Amino acid sequence: MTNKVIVCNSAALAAKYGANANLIQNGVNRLIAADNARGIQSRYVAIDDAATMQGFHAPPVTNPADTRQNKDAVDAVYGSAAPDYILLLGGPDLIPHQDIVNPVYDGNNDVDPIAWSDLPYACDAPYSQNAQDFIGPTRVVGRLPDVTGSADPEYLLNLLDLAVNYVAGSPASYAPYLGVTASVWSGSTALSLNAIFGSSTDMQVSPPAGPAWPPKLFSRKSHFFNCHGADIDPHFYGQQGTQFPIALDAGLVAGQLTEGTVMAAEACYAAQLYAPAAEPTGRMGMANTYMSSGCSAYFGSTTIAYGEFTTNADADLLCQYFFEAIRAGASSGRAALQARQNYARAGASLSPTDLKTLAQYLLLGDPSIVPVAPPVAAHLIAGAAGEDREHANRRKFLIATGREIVRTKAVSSGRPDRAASATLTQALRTLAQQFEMDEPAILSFSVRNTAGLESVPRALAARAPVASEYHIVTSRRLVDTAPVRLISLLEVEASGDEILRTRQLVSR
Amino acid sequence: MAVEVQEVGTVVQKRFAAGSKSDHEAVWLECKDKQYILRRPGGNPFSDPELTALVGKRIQARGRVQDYIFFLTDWKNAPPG
Repeated sequence: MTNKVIVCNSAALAAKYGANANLIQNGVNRLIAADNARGIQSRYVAIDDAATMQGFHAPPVTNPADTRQNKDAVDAVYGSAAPDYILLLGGPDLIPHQDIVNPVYDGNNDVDPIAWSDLPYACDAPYSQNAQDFIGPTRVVGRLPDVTGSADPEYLLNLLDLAVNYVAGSPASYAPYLGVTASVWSGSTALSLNAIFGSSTDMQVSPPAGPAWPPKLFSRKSHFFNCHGADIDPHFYGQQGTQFPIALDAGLVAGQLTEGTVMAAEACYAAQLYAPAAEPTGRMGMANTYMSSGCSAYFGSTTIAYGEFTTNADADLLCQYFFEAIRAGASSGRAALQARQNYARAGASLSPTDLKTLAQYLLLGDPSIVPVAPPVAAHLIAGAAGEDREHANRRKFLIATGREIVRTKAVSSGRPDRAASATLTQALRTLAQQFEMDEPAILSFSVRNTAGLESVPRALAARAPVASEYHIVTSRRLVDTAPVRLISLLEVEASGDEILRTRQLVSR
Repeated sequence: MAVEVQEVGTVVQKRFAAGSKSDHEAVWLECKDKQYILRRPGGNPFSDPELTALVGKRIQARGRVQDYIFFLTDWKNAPPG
Protein backbone atom coordinates (compact mmCIF):
# COMPACT_ATOMS: atom_id res chain seq x y z
CA MET A 1 0.00 0.00 0.00
CA THR A 2 1.19 3.53 -0.72
CA ASN A 3 2.60 4.97 2.45
CA LYS A 4 3.58 8.34 3.80
CA VAL A 5 5.42 9.61 6.85
CA ILE A 6 4.56 12.95 8.40
CA VAL A 7 7.77 14.04 10.08
CA CYS A 8 7.86 16.59 12.83
CA ASN A 9 9.61 17.45 16.07
CA SER A 10 6.96 17.15 18.76
CA ALA A 11 8.98 18.91 21.42
CA ALA A 12 9.62 21.86 19.12
CA LEU A 13 5.92 21.86 18.21
CA ALA A 14 4.95 21.95 21.89
CA ALA A 15 7.51 24.63 22.69
CA LYS A 16 6.17 26.78 19.86
CA TYR A 17 2.44 26.25 20.27
CA GLY A 18 2.05 25.29 23.91
CA ALA A 19 -1.34 23.70 24.63
CA ASN A 20 -2.38 24.39 21.03
CA ALA A 21 0.05 21.71 19.88
CA ASN A 22 -2.77 19.27 20.62
CA LEU A 23 -4.95 21.03 18.06
CA ILE A 24 -2.26 20.51 15.48
CA GLN A 25 -1.93 16.84 16.42
CA ASN A 26 -5.69 16.55 15.87
CA GLY A 27 -5.27 18.17 12.48
CA VAL A 28 -2.56 15.66 11.63
CA ASN A 29 -4.87 12.84 12.68
CA ARG A 30 -7.55 14.20 10.35
CA LEU A 31 -5.02 14.20 7.52
CA ILE A 32 -4.02 10.63 8.32
CA ALA A 33 -7.68 9.59 8.20
CA ALA A 34 -8.20 11.39 4.91
CA ASP A 35 -5.07 9.77 3.46
CA ASN A 36 -6.35 6.38 4.56
CA ALA A 37 -9.59 6.99 2.69
CA ARG A 38 -7.49 7.81 -0.38
CA GLY A 39 -5.51 4.61 -0.08
CA ILE A 40 -2.43 6.13 1.54
CA GLN A 41 -1.23 4.67 4.81
CA SER A 42 0.18 7.63 6.71
CA ARG A 43 1.82 7.85 10.06
CA TYR A 44 3.14 10.67 12.19
CA VAL A 45 6.80 10.31 13.15
CA ALA A 46 8.15 12.40 15.99
CA ILE A 47 11.85 12.42 15.22
CA ASP A 48 12.61 13.76 18.70
CA ASP A 49 10.92 10.84 20.45
CA ALA A 50 13.41 8.22 21.60
CA ALA A 51 10.94 5.34 21.57
CA THR A 52 9.74 6.23 18.09
CA MET A 53 13.22 6.55 16.68
CA GLN A 54 14.30 3.30 18.31
CA GLY A 55 11.85 1.68 15.93
CA PHE A 56 13.92 3.17 13.10
CA HIS A 57 17.20 2.12 14.74
CA ALA A 58 18.30 5.69 15.17
CA PRO A 59 18.81 8.21 17.96
CA PRO A 60 16.23 10.95 18.44
CA VAL A 61 16.79 14.56 17.46
CA THR A 62 17.79 16.35 20.65
CA ASN A 63 18.34 19.79 19.11
CA PRO A 64 15.58 20.83 16.70
CA ALA A 65 17.92 23.32 15.01
CA ASP A 66 20.67 20.78 14.38
CA THR A 67 20.72 20.17 10.65
CA ARG A 68 22.80 17.00 10.87
CA GLN A 69 20.54 15.42 13.48
CA ASN A 70 17.45 16.19 11.41
CA LYS A 71 19.01 14.81 8.22
CA ASP A 72 20.15 11.67 10.02
CA ALA A 73 16.68 11.17 11.47
CA VAL A 74 14.90 11.51 8.12
CA ASP A 75 17.45 9.17 6.53
CA ALA A 76 16.80 6.59 9.25
CA VAL A 77 13.04 6.82 8.80
CA TYR A 78 13.37 6.45 5.04
CA GLY A 79 15.91 3.65 5.28
CA SER A 80 13.61 1.65 7.53
CA ALA A 81 10.15 2.40 6.16
CA ALA A 82 10.84 3.38 2.54
CA PRO A 83 7.83 5.71 2.50
CA ASP A 84 6.46 6.75 -0.87
CA TYR A 85 6.07 10.28 0.49
CA ILE A 86 7.89 12.26 3.16
CA LEU A 87 5.97 15.25 4.48
CA LEU A 88 8.02 17.63 6.59
CA LEU A 89 5.54 19.25 8.93
CA GLY A 90 6.27 22.85 9.80
CA GLY A 91 8.64 25.59 8.81
CA PRO A 92 12.35 25.80 9.56
CA ASP A 93 11.86 26.36 13.26
CA LEU A 94 10.31 22.88 13.52
CA ILE A 95 12.30 21.02 10.84
CA PRO A 96 15.27 23.09 9.65
CA HIS A 97 16.24 23.54 6.05
CA GLN A 98 19.57 21.91 5.38
CA ASP A 99 22.55 24.25 5.36
CA ILE A 100 24.26 23.71 2.02
CA VAL A 101 27.16 26.08 1.42
CA ASN A 102 26.37 28.22 -1.62
CA PRO A 103 28.99 27.39 -4.27
CA VAL A 104 28.78 30.82 -5.88
CA TYR A 105 28.78 32.93 -2.75
CA ASP A 106 31.24 35.81 -2.97
CA GLY A 107 29.68 38.33 -0.60
CA ASN A 108 29.34 41.04 -3.25
CA ASN A 109 27.23 39.59 -6.01
CA ASP A 110 25.73 36.43 -4.59
CA VAL A 111 25.25 37.31 -0.94
CA ASP A 112 23.79 34.00 0.22
CA PRO A 113 26.47 32.15 2.19
CA ILE A 114 24.01 29.27 2.59
CA ALA A 115 21.60 27.88 -0.03
CA TRP A 116 18.87 26.82 2.40
CA SER A 117 17.58 23.53 1.12
CA ASP A 118 15.20 20.61 1.53
CA LEU A 119 17.04 18.72 -1.23
CA PRO A 120 19.21 16.65 1.15
CA TYR A 121 16.07 15.20 2.74
CA ALA A 122 15.30 13.82 -0.72
CA CYS A 123 18.73 12.24 -1.16
CA ASP A 124 20.40 9.07 0.07
CA ALA A 125 23.73 10.85 0.63
CA PRO A 126 24.45 11.44 4.31
CA TYR A 127 24.59 14.85 5.92
CA SER A 128 26.95 17.27 4.24
CA GLN A 129 27.16 20.96 3.52
CA ASN A 130 28.60 20.33 0.07
CA ALA A 131 26.13 20.83 -2.77
CA GLN A 132 28.16 18.42 -4.85
CA ASP A 133 26.91 15.57 -2.66
CA PHE A 134 23.24 16.09 -3.44
CA ILE A 135 22.79 15.74 -7.19
CA GLY A 136 20.88 12.45 -7.26
CA PRO A 137 17.63 12.78 -5.32
CA THR A 138 15.59 9.61 -4.97
CA ARG A 139 12.81 10.48 -2.51
CA VAL A 140 9.50 12.28 -2.82
CA VAL A 141 9.54 15.10 -0.25
CA GLY A 142 7.41 18.15 0.45
CA ARG A 143 7.04 20.58 3.31
CA LEU A 144 3.80 21.80 4.81
CA PRO A 145 5.00 25.02 6.40
CA ASP A 146 3.77 26.92 9.38
CA VAL A 147 4.69 30.57 10.01
CA THR A 148 8.21 31.01 11.30
CA GLY A 149 8.20 32.66 14.71
CA SER A 150 4.40 32.67 15.08
CA ALA A 151 2.55 30.66 17.72
CA ASP A 152 -0.90 31.03 16.16
CA PRO A 153 -1.98 27.46 15.32
CA GLU A 154 -4.70 28.58 12.89
CA TYR A 155 -2.28 28.88 9.98
CA LEU A 156 -1.05 25.29 10.12
CA LEU A 157 -4.51 23.97 10.98
CA ASN A 158 -5.79 25.68 7.84
CA LEU A 159 -3.09 24.06 5.70
CA LEU A 160 -3.79 20.65 7.21
CA ASP A 161 -7.49 21.04 6.48
CA LEU A 162 -6.77 22.10 2.91
CA ALA A 163 -4.70 18.93 2.50
CA VAL A 164 -7.51 16.86 4.04
CA ASN A 165 -10.08 18.26 1.66
CA TYR A 166 -8.16 18.43 -1.59
CA VAL A 167 -9.67 16.90 -4.68
CA ALA A 168 -7.72 16.32 -7.88
CA GLY A 169 -8.80 18.56 -10.71
CA SER A 170 -9.36 17.76 -14.34
CA PRO A 171 -6.51 18.37 -16.79
CA ALA A 172 -8.69 20.98 -18.45
CA SER A 173 -8.95 22.93 -15.20
CA TYR A 174 -5.17 23.41 -15.17
CA ALA A 175 -4.83 24.42 -18.80
CA PRO A 176 -5.55 28.14 -18.35
CA TYR A 177 -2.72 29.88 -16.54
CA LEU A 178 -1.70 33.07 -14.86
CA GLY A 179 1.77 33.43 -16.35
CA VAL A 180 3.54 36.65 -15.39
CA THR A 181 6.95 37.80 -16.51
CA ALA A 182 9.22 40.72 -15.90
CA SER A 183 9.24 42.51 -19.24
CA VAL A 184 12.99 41.98 -19.65
CA TRP A 185 12.52 38.20 -19.43
CA SER A 186 9.57 37.91 -21.80
CA GLY A 187 11.53 35.82 -24.25
CA SER A 188 12.51 33.24 -21.67
CA THR A 189 9.06 33.10 -20.10
CA ALA A 190 7.38 32.67 -23.47
CA LEU A 191 9.53 29.59 -24.08
CA SER A 192 8.55 28.19 -20.69
CA LEU A 193 4.84 28.82 -21.16
CA ASN A 194 4.92 27.28 -24.61
CA ALA A 195 6.63 24.20 -23.23
CA ILE A 196 4.24 23.80 -20.30
CA PHE A 197 0.92 24.98 -21.71
CA GLY A 198 1.41 24.84 -25.43
CA SER A 199 0.99 28.59 -25.82
CA SER A 200 2.29 31.86 -24.43
CA THR A 201 -0.42 34.11 -25.83
CA ASP A 202 -1.83 34.66 -22.35
CA MET A 203 1.50 35.80 -20.90
CA GLN A 204 1.15 38.87 -18.68
CA VAL A 205 4.05 41.32 -18.80
CA SER A 206 5.12 43.56 -15.94
CA PRO A 207 5.25 46.41 -16.58
CA PRO A 208 2.67 47.42 -17.48
CA ALA A 209 0.44 44.67 -16.11
CA GLY A 210 -0.21 43.88 -12.43
CA PRO A 211 -0.24 43.71 -9.50
CA ALA A 212 -4.02 43.92 -9.15
CA TRP A 213 -4.71 40.86 -11.30
CA PRO A 214 -8.40 40.51 -12.15
CA PRO A 215 -10.26 37.60 -10.58
CA LYS A 216 -10.58 35.82 -13.93
CA LEU A 217 -6.77 35.52 -13.98
CA PHE A 218 -6.09 35.06 -10.28
CA SER A 219 -8.63 32.26 -10.10
CA ARG A 220 -6.81 30.15 -12.68
CA LYS A 221 -5.27 27.14 -11.00
CA SER A 222 -1.91 27.22 -12.79
CA HIS A 223 0.39 30.07 -11.76
CA PHE A 224 3.82 30.64 -13.30
CA PHE A 225 5.79 33.71 -12.27
CA ASN A 226 9.15 34.75 -13.73
CA CYS A 227 9.80 37.97 -11.85
CA HIS A 228 12.19 39.47 -9.36
CA GLY A 229 11.93 38.69 -5.67
CA ALA A 230 13.80 40.05 -2.69
CA ASP A 231 14.99 38.85 0.69
CA ILE A 232 12.33 39.31 3.39
CA ASP A 233 9.87 40.95 1.05
CA PRO A 234 6.25 39.99 0.27
CA HIS A 235 6.23 41.02 -3.39
CA PHE A 236 7.36 39.95 -6.82
CA TYR A 237 8.59 42.67 -9.14
CA GLY A 238 8.61 43.19 -12.87
CA GLN A 239 11.30 45.05 -14.75
CA GLN A 240 11.58 47.31 -17.76
CA GLY A 241 14.91 49.11 -17.95
CA THR A 242 15.51 50.56 -14.48
CA GLN A 243 11.85 50.38 -13.49
CA PHE A 244 10.90 47.60 -11.10
CA PRO A 245 7.15 47.87 -10.50
CA ILE A 246 5.33 45.45 -8.22
CA ALA A 247 4.03 42.48 -10.25
CA LEU A 248 2.49 40.51 -7.39
CA ASP A 249 1.63 41.70 -3.89
CA ALA A 250 1.07 39.08 -1.19
CA GLY A 251 -1.42 41.47 0.37
CA LEU A 252 -3.64 41.10 -2.70
CA VAL A 253 -3.56 37.29 -2.82
CA ALA A 254 -5.79 36.34 0.10
CA GLY A 255 -9.23 35.22 -1.03
CA GLN A 256 -8.27 35.31 -4.71
CA LEU A 257 -6.90 31.83 -5.30
CA THR A 258 -8.89 28.79 -6.31
CA GLU A 259 -8.26 25.83 -4.02
CA GLY A 260 -5.78 23.50 -5.64
CA THR A 261 -3.74 26.27 -7.28
CA VAL A 262 -0.24 25.21 -8.29
CA MET A 263 2.52 27.83 -8.36
CA ALA A 264 5.98 27.67 -9.87
CA ALA A 265 7.86 30.85 -8.98
CA GLU A 266 11.20 31.74 -10.51
CA ALA A 267 11.72 34.81 -8.32
CA CYS A 268 14.62 34.99 -5.91
CA TYR A 269 13.51 34.15 -2.37
CA ALA A 270 10.05 33.12 -3.63
CA ALA A 271 9.90 30.20 -1.19
CA GLN A 272 11.61 31.96 1.70
CA LEU A 273 9.75 31.19 4.93
CA TYR A 274 10.86 34.25 6.84
CA ALA A 275 9.42 35.32 10.17
CA PRO A 276 6.93 38.15 9.54
CA ALA A 277 8.45 39.94 12.52
CA ALA A 278 11.64 40.33 10.47
CA GLU A 279 9.78 42.24 7.75
CA PRO A 280 9.47 45.86 8.84
CA THR A 281 5.75 46.01 8.10
CA GLY A 282 5.14 42.60 9.68
CA ARG A 283 3.79 40.94 6.54
CA MET A 284 3.96 37.26 5.74
CA GLY A 285 5.94 36.24 2.66
CA MET A 286 4.56 35.18 -0.70
CA ALA A 287 4.98 31.44 -0.13
CA ASN A 288 3.24 31.43 3.24
CA THR A 289 0.47 33.61 1.80
CA TYR A 290 -0.10 31.41 -1.21
CA MET A 291 -0.25 28.26 0.90
CA SER A 292 -2.82 29.68 3.30
CA SER A 293 -4.90 30.97 0.41
CA GLY A 294 -5.54 27.56 -1.10
CA CYS A 295 -2.39 26.80 -3.08
CA SER A 296 -1.73 23.07 -2.84
CA ALA A 297 1.76 23.04 -4.36
CA TYR A 298 4.27 25.89 -4.40
CA PHE A 299 7.66 25.36 -6.04
CA GLY A 300 10.17 28.10 -5.43
CA SER A 301 13.62 29.15 -4.29
CA THR A 302 14.84 30.03 -0.81
CA THR A 303 17.61 32.31 -2.06
CA ILE A 304 19.01 34.26 -5.05
CA ALA A 305 18.17 32.33 -8.22
CA TYR A 306 19.52 32.30 -11.77
CA GLY A 307 17.94 32.16 -15.18
CA GLU A 308 18.20 33.59 -18.69
CA PHE A 309 16.85 36.52 -20.66
CA THR A 310 15.73 34.94 -23.90
CA THR A 311 16.45 31.25 -23.50
CA ASN A 312 15.81 28.77 -20.70
CA ALA A 313 18.36 27.78 -18.09
CA ASP A 314 18.65 27.20 -14.35
CA ALA A 315 15.42 28.22 -12.63
CA ASP A 316 13.60 28.46 -15.97
CA LEU A 317 14.19 24.79 -16.64
CA LEU A 318 13.62 23.49 -13.13
CA CYS A 319 10.24 25.24 -12.84
CA GLN A 320 9.29 24.13 -16.32
CA TYR A 321 10.06 20.49 -15.55
CA PHE A 322 8.03 20.72 -12.34
CA PHE A 323 4.95 22.07 -14.05
CA GLU A 324 5.19 19.62 -16.94
CA ALA A 325 5.11 16.74 -14.47
CA ILE A 326 2.18 18.30 -12.60
CA ARG A 327 0.18 18.60 -15.80
CA ALA A 328 1.00 15.00 -16.68
CA GLY A 329 -0.69 13.84 -13.47
CA ALA A 330 2.20 13.45 -11.05
CA SER A 331 1.79 14.07 -7.35
CA SER A 332 3.34 17.40 -6.41
CA GLY A 333 6.16 15.57 -4.62
CA ARG A 334 6.91 13.32 -7.57
CA ALA A 335 6.81 16.36 -9.85
CA ALA A 336 9.45 18.02 -7.69
CA LEU A 337 11.61 14.89 -7.71
CA GLN A 338 11.29 14.44 -11.47
CA ALA A 339 12.10 18.10 -12.01
CA ARG A 340 15.27 17.76 -9.93
CA GLN A 341 16.32 14.59 -11.72
CA ASN A 342 15.58 15.97 -15.19
CA TYR A 343 17.58 19.07 -14.36
CA ALA A 344 20.50 17.09 -12.95
CA ARG A 345 20.62 14.80 -15.98
CA ALA A 346 20.62 17.56 -18.60
CA GLY A 347 23.90 18.75 -20.05
CA ALA A 348 27.39 17.34 -19.87
CA SER A 349 28.14 18.40 -16.30
CA LEU A 350 26.69 20.31 -13.39
CA SER A 351 28.20 23.75 -12.84
CA PRO A 352 28.39 25.70 -9.57
CA THR A 353 25.22 27.64 -10.46
CA ASP A 354 23.51 24.37 -11.38
CA LEU A 355 24.33 23.10 -7.90
CA LYS A 356 22.87 26.17 -6.26
CA THR A 357 19.76 25.93 -8.45
CA LEU A 358 19.20 22.30 -7.48
CA ALA A 359 19.75 23.02 -3.81
CA GLN A 360 17.62 26.12 -3.45
CA TYR A 361 14.35 24.98 -5.03
CA LEU A 362 11.87 23.19 -2.81
CA LEU A 363 8.28 22.08 -2.71
CA LEU A 364 5.82 23.53 -0.25
CA GLY A 365 2.69 21.43 0.12
CA ASP A 366 1.69 17.87 0.91
CA PRO A 367 3.80 15.85 -1.56
CA SER A 368 1.08 13.21 -1.93
CA ILE A 369 -1.43 15.66 -3.37
CA VAL A 370 -2.14 15.00 -7.04
CA PRO A 371 -3.37 18.31 -8.43
CA VAL A 372 -4.24 17.00 -11.90
CA ALA A 373 -6.13 13.73 -12.10
CA PRO A 374 -3.85 11.50 -14.15
CA PRO A 375 -5.01 9.52 -17.12
CA VAL A 376 -5.50 5.85 -16.37
CA ALA A 377 -4.41 3.22 -18.83
CA ALA A 378 -7.21 0.76 -18.12
CA HIS A 379 -5.49 -2.18 -19.74
CA LEU A 380 -2.46 -1.79 -17.46
CA ILE A 381 -4.15 -1.27 -14.12
CA ALA A 382 -6.09 -4.07 -12.48
CA GLY A 383 -7.64 -2.73 -9.30
CA ALA A 384 -5.92 -1.45 -6.19
CA ALA A 385 -3.18 -4.08 -6.28
CA GLY A 386 -2.32 -3.14 -9.84
CA GLU A 387 -2.22 0.55 -8.98
CA ASP A 388 0.03 -0.11 -6.04
CA ARG A 389 2.34 -2.14 -8.23
CA GLU A 390 2.49 0.68 -10.79
CA HIS A 391 3.19 3.14 -8.02
CA ALA A 392 5.96 0.99 -6.56
CA ASN A 393 7.49 0.53 -10.01
CA ARG A 394 7.57 4.29 -10.50
CA ARG A 395 9.35 4.70 -7.18
CA LYS A 396 11.87 2.04 -8.10
CA PHE A 397 12.57 3.76 -11.39
CA LEU A 398 13.00 7.11 -9.68
CA ILE A 399 15.40 5.60 -7.14
CA ALA A 400 17.40 3.96 -9.90
CA THR A 401 17.50 7.24 -11.81
CA GLY A 402 18.76 9.19 -8.82
CA ARG A 403 21.47 6.67 -8.10
CA GLU A 404 22.52 6.61 -11.74
CA ILE A 405 22.95 10.39 -11.66
CA VAL A 406 25.22 10.14 -8.63
CA ARG A 407 27.22 7.39 -10.24
CA THR A 408 27.76 8.92 -13.65
CA LYS A 409 27.22 12.67 -13.66
CA ALA A 410 30.19 14.99 -13.99
CA VAL A 411 29.80 17.66 -11.35
CA SER A 412 31.58 20.73 -10.11
CA SER A 413 32.93 20.89 -6.61
CA GLY A 414 30.48 22.49 -4.23
CA ARG A 415 33.07 24.99 -3.02
CA PRO A 416 35.94 26.83 -4.73
CA ASP A 417 38.76 24.35 -4.26
CA ARG A 418 41.50 25.37 -6.61
CA ALA A 419 43.28 28.34 -8.05
CA ALA A 420 43.41 29.02 -11.75
CA SER A 421 46.90 28.83 -13.22
CA ALA A 422 48.67 32.09 -14.03
CA THR A 423 48.10 31.47 -17.74
CA LEU A 424 44.41 30.76 -17.30
CA THR A 425 43.98 33.67 -14.89
CA GLN A 426 45.32 35.99 -17.54
CA ALA A 427 43.01 34.46 -20.11
CA LEU A 428 40.03 34.92 -17.78
CA ARG A 429 40.97 38.54 -17.11
CA THR A 430 41.19 39.14 -20.86
CA LEU A 431 37.77 37.54 -21.25
CA ALA A 432 36.37 39.69 -18.46
CA GLN A 433 37.70 42.82 -20.19
CA GLN A 434 35.86 41.83 -23.35
CA PHE A 435 32.67 41.86 -21.30
CA GLU A 436 33.54 45.19 -19.67
CA MET A 437 34.02 43.57 -16.28
CA ASP A 438 36.48 45.59 -14.23
CA GLU A 439 38.34 44.17 -11.27
CA PRO A 440 37.07 40.64 -11.82
CA ALA A 441 37.05 38.15 -8.98
CA ILE A 442 37.57 34.51 -9.88
CA LEU A 443 36.19 31.49 -8.04
CA SER A 444 37.60 28.17 -9.32
CA PHE A 445 36.11 24.71 -8.95
CA SER A 446 37.36 21.24 -9.85
CA VAL A 447 35.06 18.82 -11.70
CA ARG A 448 34.74 15.22 -10.60
CA ASN A 449 33.19 12.12 -12.09
CA THR A 450 34.23 12.79 -15.66
CA ALA A 451 34.98 9.17 -16.55
CA GLY A 452 31.70 8.74 -18.39
CA LEU A 453 32.41 11.71 -20.63
CA GLU A 454 35.97 10.65 -21.24
CA SER A 455 35.17 7.10 -22.34
CA VAL A 456 33.74 8.11 -25.72
CA PRO A 457 35.20 7.57 -29.19
CA ARG A 458 38.44 9.50 -29.52
CA ALA A 459 37.22 11.53 -32.48
CA LEU A 460 34.29 12.79 -30.45
CA ALA A 461 36.45 13.48 -27.40
CA ALA A 462 38.76 15.59 -29.57
CA ARG A 463 35.84 17.73 -30.74
CA ALA A 464 34.53 18.33 -27.23
CA PRO A 465 37.18 18.01 -24.53
CA VAL A 466 35.89 17.32 -21.06
CA ALA A 467 35.94 20.25 -18.66
CA SER A 468 38.16 19.71 -15.64
CA GLU A 469 37.36 23.03 -14.01
CA TYR A 470 34.69 25.65 -13.68
CA HIS A 471 35.56 29.28 -13.07
CA ILE A 472 33.03 31.86 -11.97
CA VAL A 473 34.16 35.35 -12.93
CA THR A 474 32.36 38.22 -11.27
CA SER A 475 32.77 41.96 -11.42
CA ARG A 476 33.14 44.04 -8.30
CA ARG A 477 33.06 47.34 -10.12
CA LEU A 478 31.56 50.24 -8.22
CA VAL A 479 29.32 52.04 -10.65
CA ASP A 480 27.37 55.25 -10.52
CA THR A 481 25.37 54.47 -13.59
CA ALA A 482 25.49 51.45 -15.79
CA PRO A 483 23.66 50.17 -18.78
CA VAL A 484 21.14 47.60 -17.66
CA ARG A 485 22.66 44.94 -19.91
CA LEU A 486 26.15 45.14 -18.37
CA ILE A 487 27.39 41.57 -18.10
CA SER A 488 28.83 40.92 -14.66
CA LEU A 489 29.02 37.18 -14.20
CA LEU A 490 30.64 34.60 -16.43
CA GLU A 491 30.62 30.86 -15.92
CA VAL A 492 33.65 29.40 -17.70
CA GLU A 493 34.41 25.73 -18.37
CA ALA A 494 38.07 24.95 -18.83
CA SER A 495 40.37 22.02 -19.36
CA GLY A 496 43.72 22.96 -17.91
CA ASP A 497 44.61 26.28 -19.49
CA GLU A 498 42.15 25.92 -22.32
CA ILE A 499 38.81 27.73 -22.11
CA LEU A 500 36.18 25.39 -23.54
CA ARG A 501 32.93 27.23 -23.04
CA THR A 502 31.77 30.52 -21.61
CA ARG A 503 28.29 31.14 -20.38
CA GLN A 504 27.08 34.64 -19.74
CA LEU A 505 24.73 34.93 -16.80
CA VAL A 506 23.40 38.13 -18.25
CA SER A 507 22.47 41.03 -16.05
CA ARG A 508 18.77 41.85 -15.97
CA MET B 1 17.02 37.79 13.79
CA ALA B 2 16.50 41.56 13.32
CA VAL B 3 18.63 43.79 15.49
CA GLU B 4 18.20 47.54 16.08
CA VAL B 5 21.47 49.28 15.24
CA GLN B 6 23.19 52.51 14.35
CA GLU B 7 25.89 52.59 11.73
CA VAL B 8 27.96 55.25 10.04
CA GLY B 9 28.86 54.77 6.43
CA THR B 10 28.83 56.04 2.89
CA VAL B 11 25.87 55.38 0.65
CA VAL B 12 26.94 53.98 -2.70
CA GLN B 13 25.24 52.43 -5.65
CA LYS B 14 26.60 49.26 -7.18
CA ARG B 15 25.52 46.07 -8.75
CA PHE B 16 23.92 43.41 -6.57
CA ALA B 17 23.54 39.72 -7.38
CA ALA B 18 25.03 40.15 -10.84
CA GLY B 19 23.77 37.65 -13.38
CA SER B 20 21.03 36.41 -11.12
CA LYS B 21 17.32 37.04 -11.01
CA SER B 22 17.95 39.73 -8.39
CA ASP B 23 20.47 41.57 -10.53
CA HIS B 24 20.09 45.33 -10.19
CA GLU B 25 21.86 48.53 -9.19
CA ALA B 26 21.35 48.44 -5.46
CA VAL B 27 21.94 51.10 -2.85
CA TRP B 28 24.49 50.02 -0.26
CA LEU B 29 25.71 51.39 3.03
CA GLU B 30 29.46 50.89 3.12
CA CYS B 31 30.69 51.02 6.69
CA LYS B 32 34.21 50.64 8.00
CA ASP B 33 34.22 46.84 8.25
CA LYS B 34 31.05 45.76 6.54
CA GLN B 35 28.49 46.65 3.95
CA TYR B 36 24.73 46.33 3.84
CA ILE B 37 22.01 46.58 1.24
CA LEU B 38 19.93 49.60 2.22
CA ARG B 39 16.17 49.27 2.19
CA ARG B 40 13.34 51.35 3.55
CA PRO B 41 10.57 49.51 5.39
CA GLY B 42 7.83 49.05 2.82
CA GLY B 43 10.04 50.45 0.06
CA ASN B 44 10.75 48.84 -3.29
CA PRO B 45 13.91 46.76 -2.79
CA PHE B 46 14.92 47.17 -6.45
CA SER B 47 14.28 50.84 -7.03
CA ASP B 48 13.71 53.37 -4.28
CA PRO B 49 14.20 57.03 -5.31
CA GLU B 50 14.41 58.14 -1.69
CA LEU B 51 17.41 55.89 -1.14
CA THR B 52 18.95 56.72 -4.50
CA ALA B 53 18.89 60.36 -3.41
CA LEU B 54 21.29 59.44 -0.58
CA VAL B 55 23.97 58.08 -2.90
CA GLY B 56 27.25 59.81 -2.26
CA LYS B 57 26.32 60.97 1.24
CA ARG B 58 28.02 59.90 4.44
CA ILE B 59 25.28 59.21 6.94
CA GLN B 60 24.57 57.97 10.42
CA ALA B 61 21.90 55.39 9.79
CA ARG B 62 19.49 53.94 12.28
CA GLY B 63 17.35 50.90 11.68
CA ARG B 64 17.20 47.15 11.83
CA VAL B 65 19.69 44.73 10.40
CA GLN B 66 18.63 41.36 9.06
CA ASP B 67 21.54 39.40 7.62
CA TYR B 68 22.96 41.71 4.92
CA ILE B 69 19.99 44.09 4.81
CA PHE B 70 19.80 47.40 6.68
CA PHE B 71 16.18 48.48 7.02
CA LEU B 72 16.64 52.22 7.34
CA THR B 73 14.23 54.00 9.65
CA ASP B 74 16.13 57.23 10.23
CA TRP B 75 19.30 58.94 9.12
CA LYS B 76 21.29 62.12 9.44
CA ASN B 77 24.38 63.51 7.84
CA ALA B 78 27.61 62.27 9.36
CA PRO B 79 30.94 64.06 9.36
CA PRO B 80 33.50 62.91 6.81
CA GLY B 81 35.34 59.76 7.89
